[in-house]
This record gives sequence, C-alpha cells and structure tokens, in this order.
Amino acid sequence: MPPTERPVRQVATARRRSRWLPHPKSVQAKVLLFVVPVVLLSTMLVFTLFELNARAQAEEELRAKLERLAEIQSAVLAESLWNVNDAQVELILASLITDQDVLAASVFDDRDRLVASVGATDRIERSDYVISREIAFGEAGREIVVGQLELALTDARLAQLRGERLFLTAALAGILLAAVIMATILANKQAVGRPLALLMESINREQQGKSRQAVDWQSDDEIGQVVSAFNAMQRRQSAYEAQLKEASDVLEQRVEERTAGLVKAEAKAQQARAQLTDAIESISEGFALYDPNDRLVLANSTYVRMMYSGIEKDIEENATFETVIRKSVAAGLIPDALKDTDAWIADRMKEHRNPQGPKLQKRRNEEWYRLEERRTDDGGMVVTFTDITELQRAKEAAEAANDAKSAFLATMSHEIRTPLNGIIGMSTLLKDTKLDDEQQDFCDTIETAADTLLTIINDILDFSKVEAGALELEAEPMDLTVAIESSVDLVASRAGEKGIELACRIEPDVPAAILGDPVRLKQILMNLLNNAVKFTEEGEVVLTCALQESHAAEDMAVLKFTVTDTGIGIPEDRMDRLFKSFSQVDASTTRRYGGTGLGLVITKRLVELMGGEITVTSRIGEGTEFSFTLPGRIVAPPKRSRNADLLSAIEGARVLVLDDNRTNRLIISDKLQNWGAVPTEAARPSEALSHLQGAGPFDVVIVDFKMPEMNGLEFTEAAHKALGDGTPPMILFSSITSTERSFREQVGAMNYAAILTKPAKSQQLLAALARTLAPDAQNAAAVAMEMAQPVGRHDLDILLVDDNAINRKVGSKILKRLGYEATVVTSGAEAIEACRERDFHIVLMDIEMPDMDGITAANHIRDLLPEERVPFIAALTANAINSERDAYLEAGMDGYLSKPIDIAALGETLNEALELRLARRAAISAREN
Amino acid sequence: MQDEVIDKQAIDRLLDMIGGDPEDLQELLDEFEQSAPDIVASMRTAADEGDLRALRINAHSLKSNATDMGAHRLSAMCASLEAACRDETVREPMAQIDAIDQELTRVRAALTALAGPNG
Repeated sequence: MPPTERPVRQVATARRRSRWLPHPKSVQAKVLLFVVPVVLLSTMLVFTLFELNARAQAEEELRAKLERLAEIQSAVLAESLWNVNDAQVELILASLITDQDVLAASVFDDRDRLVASVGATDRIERSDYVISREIAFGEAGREIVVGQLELALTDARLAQLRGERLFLTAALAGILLAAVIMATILANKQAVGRPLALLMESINREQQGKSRQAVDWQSDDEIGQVVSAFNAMQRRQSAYEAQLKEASDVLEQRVEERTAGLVKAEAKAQQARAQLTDAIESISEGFALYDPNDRLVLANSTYVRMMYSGIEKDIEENATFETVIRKSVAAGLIPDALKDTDAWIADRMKEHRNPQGPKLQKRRNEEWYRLEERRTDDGGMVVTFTDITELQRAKEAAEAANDAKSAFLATMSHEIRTPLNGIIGMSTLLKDTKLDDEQQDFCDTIETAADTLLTIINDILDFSKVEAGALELEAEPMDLTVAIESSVDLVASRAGEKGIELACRIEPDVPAAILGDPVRLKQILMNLLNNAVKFTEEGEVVLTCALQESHAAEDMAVLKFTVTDTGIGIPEDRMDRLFKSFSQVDASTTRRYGGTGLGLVITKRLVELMGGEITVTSRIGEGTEFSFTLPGRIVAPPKRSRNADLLSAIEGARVLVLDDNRTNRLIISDKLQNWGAVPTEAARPSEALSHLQGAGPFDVVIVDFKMPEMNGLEFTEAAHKALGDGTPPMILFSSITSTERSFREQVGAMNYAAILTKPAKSQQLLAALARTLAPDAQNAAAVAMEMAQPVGRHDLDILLVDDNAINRKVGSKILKRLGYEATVVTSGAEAIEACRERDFHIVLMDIEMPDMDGITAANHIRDLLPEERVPFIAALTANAINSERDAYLEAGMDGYLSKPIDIAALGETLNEALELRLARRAAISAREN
Repeated sequence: MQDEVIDKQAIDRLLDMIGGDPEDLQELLDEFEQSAPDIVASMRTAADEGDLRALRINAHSLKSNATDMGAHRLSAMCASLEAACRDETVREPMAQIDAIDQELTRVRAALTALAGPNG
C-alpha cells in the first residue's frame, strides 16, 4: 500500500470521528470533556443511590404508619361500633382524614355495610398503601368482630418530598459540577494553560522572526520540564544560529575577497593578453596559433597580410587549418599547389600534422617564405612565417658568386698550370738535346724552379679553395693500406737519396677501409712525410696508423696517424707559428729547405675539414712528431680496389689531350691531374703531331673526333703514318651519333684502345686509360666491364619497363654501371606513353606484368610509332625455357634477356640493338631513295 | 641457418652486378624488405578474389626478387605457385601463400642479419 495513503486515511478517520464529537481545540476543553461527564456521572450515581435510599425509607415509614393507624383507629372505632354510634365513627374518621397522608378510610359493619367513609374512596384501589383491618371489640382473647376498617394512605406527600429532594439534589449536583468545572479550569489554566500559552507565544515570535524570548515559567511538573527543555532548545538554536551567522559572515567575506582577487586576476589576464597580442603583433614574422583541433586561435596581422592577402576575411578565429590552406590555394597564392591541388593539400596536411622541421614555401611574385610549424605541449600548433625572399635572393646571389669564384679558381688553376706544364715539358725536352754542362745546369735549374713553382701554385690554389670554403671532400671507401703505402712510396726515393730510413706501420686493429677522401688523405700524408724527410738529415722517418677509439654501434672509428722523424726539430717559441699561413719556422729554413709555408696550413685545414685534429711535439736537435686524428665510418674496402688499381696503373702517365674545345680539354686535363697523370694539351692536330714527334714519349693520346682541321680519325691516321710502331695507343672521344656503317668500319680499322662518348664519364675514362696503360690481370674486372660496352657505343636512350621495384633498381644500376642513364617506367601503359613522347633506341620490356603484359605493350608501341622511330624492344624474362624465349621472338620481340640480368648479355643486346637500328634505318633510306 | 635461407653468394653476385657499392645493395635490400610483404598481400587479395592471373603475376614477381636475393627456397615456392596458376591447378592457394609468407619472414630476418655487420 503506498505510504501516502495511510496518513490520509488516518486523517479522514480522525475527521470522521470528530464530526460526531465536539471538536475540542484546547486542552482545557479536552480536560473538561473528560471531567464533566465523569463528575456528572458520579454525582448522579451518588444522588441516585441516596434518593433510592430515601425513597425506600419513606415508603417504609408510610407503610408502618398505615399499620399503626389502622391498628389505632381500629381500636378507637371498636367501641363506637359496638355502640353503633355512627356519629362517633364519622367523627373519628373526620379526624383521621386530617392526616395528610390519609387518602380515604372506610368503615364497614359486621354485615359489610358501609358505616362511614371519608376521603377519596374511589381511589382506594389505586393506592399502594391500603390496609383492611378487622375491628374487634372485646377483651383480649374474647374479641368480637364488629366491623372492618379499610384504610388507604396516599404517597402524595412522599412525592412532594421526593420532588423537593430531587430539586435539592439537582441543585447540589449543579453546584458541585460548577465547582468542579471552575476548579478544573482554574487548575488547568494555572498549571497548563499559561505555560502553554507562553510557549506558543514564544514559538509564534520565532515564527514571525522576532527575537527569541525564553519562556518564563518554572514548575516542577512535566510542563515545567517541557518549558525548560524548550528554553534550552531555543538557546541551542540561538547558539547554532549565531555560529552559522558567523560562519556565513566569514564566508561572505572570503567570497568578497576572492571575487576581488578574481577581478584583479582577470584584469591582469586581460592585460597580459593585451601585452601578448601586442608583442605578437609587433614581431616581424607572421605568427599563428592553432588549437589541438586545428582551429585558429589567434594570428597576428603580419601573418594574415603576408600569407593571405586577398582572403583575409577567411582567416578568422576558429577557421580550421585545412580551410585556410584550401582557400589560399584556391586564391592562387601558392603556385606549386596549382599543379595537383588535392595531392598538394594532402601532403601539406600530412606535414602539418607531423611537422618535421622548417621548410621553404614559394608564393606569388617569386616570394619565398620560411615556414615553421611546431607542436605546443597541449597539442596545439604554432605556425610561423618568415619572409626570406631577400635571404633567398642573397643566398642565390651568394651561390652565384661562389660558383663564379669556383669557376674562377678552376680556370685560374688551369690557366696557371698549363704554361707551367709547358715550361716543365720544354725543359725536359731541352734536357734531352745536346747541351754543354753549363746549359745542362741552367736546364736543371729551370726544371727545379718550375717544379717548385708548380708546387707553390698547387698549394696556393688549394689554400684559396680551402679559405673560400670551396674545398669539397669526397666520401668514398678508402683503402687505408693502399693510401698509406702509396704515400710512403712516393717519398721513398727522396728518403733513400738522403740515406734516411723510411718505415710505415699499420696497427692490426685498424680497419681495412673507412669512408673519406683518399686523395686528400694522401695529400696530408705526403705533406707530413715530405716535411719530415725534408727536415731530417739522418735517422729515420716513421709513419704509424693506429685505431684510437671505436664506437661499434655506429661503426665509427677514429684513427690516429703519426709521422715521427729524427730531424732538426722545431723550437718551442716557433711552435705556434707552425700552422699559420705563410710562415716558416725560420727564414733561413725557407732558403735551405724551400717550401711555401702553406703546406701545413692546408694540411691542418684538411684535417679539420675531415673532422680531426692535428698536433705536434718536437725537441730541437732530436726530432719532431706530427699526429692527427681522422674519424670515419668503417666500411668495406672498395671491392678489389678497382680504382686504386686503376689509379696506380696510370700514375705518372704522360697523356696527350687533343681537343679543339678548350672546356673539354680543361675537364679532361683536370681529371688526369687529379689521378696523378701528367697531361699535355694540344688544341690542334698539328700541335699534337709535333708533340708526338718530339722526343718526350707519351703513354697514351686522347683524341677528340670532331675537330675543324681534320677529324680524330684523320689525325690518328696521320700519327700512325708519322710514327709507325712508335705511335702511342689512342683513345677516341666522340660526341656524334653517326650510325653509318662506314664510319664504324673506319673506326674499327684504327684499332683504338677505346672509344668513349662525351661527356667523358670519369670512371670509364679511368678504366680505359688503365686498361690501355697496364693491360694485365690486375684490371681483369675492369676489362670485363669495358668489354661489355659495345664498340661504337653512342649515347643510347634506354627505356626500362618493369612492374617490380627491385628489378627496376637492379636494372638501372646495371645500366648505370655501363654508363647509361635509363628512363624507368612501371607498366606497359606508361611504356607506351613514354615511347610516344620520346625517341628511345632500346626498350627493355619485362614480360610478366599485371594489367598489360610486355608482349601487348610492345605490339602497341610498334603499331603506334612510324617505322623509323620504333625502338629495339628486348624482352626481359625470368623464363629460362627455350621454347618460351622463341615464342617471344615470334611474337615480335627483337631480342630477349633473362633475369637476373647478365652484364655481358646486356652489352651484347645493346650492340645488337644498335646494329638492328642501323640496318633498319639503312633499309628505310634505301627504300626512300 | 642463414645459409639455408639466403644464398650468400647470390647476394655477392647481386652486389657485383650493380657496381659493388654496398649502399646500392642496401637500397635493394631495403626495397625488398618493403615491397615483398606488399606482394604477399596482393597475392592474398588475388586468391580471395579468385584472380588467377594476378596471383600468377605476383608469384612471378616475388619469385624473381627472391632469386636475386638468393632466397632459393622462397623462390621455388613462388615458382610452383606460379606454375600451378598457369596450369589452373591451384589448390588451397591461401595455405601456399601462408607458407610463402612464413618463408619470407625467415628470409627477411636473414637479410637483416646480413646487413648488420656491414652497417
């Protein structure tokens, strides 16, 4: 049963009960309600009892009176009757009736005749008090009944008495009741009503919110207890309220304080924000802050102006970064994005989410900006734009200046060396002519001076390169043993001449090769060794190489090279000048020992460029020790040290370079010099011929084909005619794409040691030279590589088609090794497009490809292109089955190569391609003619 | 263990073929590392879609790469899958692809171990 019903029912019940009862609203009434009935009842009971008693008594008396009277009167009447004295009887009766109580009396004679009666004889029967007595005369014992008396009494008097009594009783009861009621009321009032009223008053006061007053009542009874309890409660309540108010007051105060504090803090924050905004506004960079959800929080006006002029209204707070970017692109602000907008935007967003570092962005009007994005700690992003257009321009200008400088240096080095080489060459020639002693001496002097000058110039040029920061170091695997030993070798003869012991030791823990610049390392070692030998009169010079430290984790090693000598030493006070430019220890030493004083400076710079440090210790008269550290990554030594072998093969070789084009001559001479060969240049065939005919034998001649006076072929012929068997081997350089058979035949007839295409690829030139000059087992590998190159090779345009990334890479690398830069595509469709756009000589087509297989693609290409443009298409297949291969040929492929690609086979195919092409073109021209 | 999975000589031959530069070789190894799992994934898709031709071509691709890397066993597995595709006698392609995937994992581990000392 839901709880709410209960009380309702109870209330209803209570109400129902009260409807039938007077509804007492006061204790007073309630008490009276109890007292009155009780008192009433009890008085009524008492008085009723009393009354009943009285009434019984009265009746008793009356009855007794009746009997008495009857007796008496009978006696009285007896005589009268005997005497038949009726008058007497009447008299007696008359006196009887005077008694109030007598109602009636009747006398009868012995014959039941009424003698006399008196009173209301008709009502006798109705009375309760009736007696009949025999009247007897006589003496006791001898009575004679003379008559009968009938006497009736009335209880009227009783009734009257009763009434009076009742009245009295009622009055008494009333008085009693009234007294009780009064007493009750008074008592109540005294004991209960007053205190309750006081309580009520107090409560009302409280309800009305007036101040509390204790109830002024004291008594020992329950009411008193309640009152004192109430008062106590009030006091407690007051106390609580006081506490509460206090607390509330305190709280209010605190709140006020806090609010005041907050207001202040708010003001400060506002100020700070204003400050920050000002600060951000004032910086020259564009600055923007995006929240972790990529929405713009704030941006300074520079940012908006710089980057988004024209779409400023789109750069508003809460715009997402992507929106901003899209709008910029749409407004054409970023030229690079116009090509492939969606891809650009996707890239940009990727970078934005994961910024890798500053990047440059080009905007309209060739403006460049440096854009930097950084994540903040809470995941937001700060984007800064710096206008680096000027910087960029300056950079470009500086680069241009640098390029100009480098070009100048290169040119100068060439310009200076050439005449020097001429002088040296001439003096050598001169020495071989008939000279007398004096002339011989002069010649020697010239040679020495020229050599010295060359060294000095080399030093100066190196120095200026180093100072200009134009010195670039190679990073290739350096075979340390080879580098060290060859340096020592070069000093050996001079040491031997002076009778000095020359030793070199490589510690066993030194790695076989590290990454570095072998040429420069040799330069350093040469410088130190030369110095050591130069300044030592007797004793020894030792070169040591040891492993100073290594970090296995990164394959980094630090080597320490030491050159120790037992020479004249360096005085302490000169040590600091040692590495300074142009200073020698002592002016006299320059005269005695020569040198520019630049060697050590360059050495020091080189060492530092390589990441090492150089130190020196010395004692006068005892010797000197130079040592330097060289860090480098441990790598596998260059395979079979091909280059080292090749370089050693051409070291010191005298090479004649014939080319009418100065730049070409320059390039080739430079390379030759770097390799340690000795080039001589000739601009015209006649010059070359006279060089050749001069006594100085040349080891090899490099000839350009295309020259004005006579072409390379003709020159070679002339040379052979002039020198016969003494003609040095020749290497022909050709930049033409003549594919005529006759030309090829002619070239073949000249028996060139090698035919190379321009521009001259270093590796090939080096290999060709090495092969020409030292055709022995050492170069077997190089030879094999060379053989792979088709004779009459021209620059071939090669297209490589393969869907597999690894195959593509391998193929390109092999082709690169052969000296070809192939175009690479990944599908048949792309191959067709490529052939449509460009003329390829040869297509290497993978057969097994998804989407479009190789055969189909090849057929498309053949169908698409006019006959003279159709390339040689070779199938690349992993199928080794002959029948399959033949099938390819039948399907129209011009050739096939199996995978993995064999270099020799590739070379042959390239040859074949060339020949086939020539044949085709010949056929076409024949047809057209 | 390595030798069974990878034929070192094949790697050496590869290195030689591309010019002897260990960096180039590393490029190829990295490329293999990256692309081989993609090929296997393509194989699975092809098997799912019942595309025999695509499956054959992918198997062919992986076979040739595996041969380059000297992973002869892997290459053989791919070869037989390729042949089955050609003859249309492929049974339980997924199981075969799983086996190929497992072998590929071994191959990759062996290649990584190889690359270690050379950095």
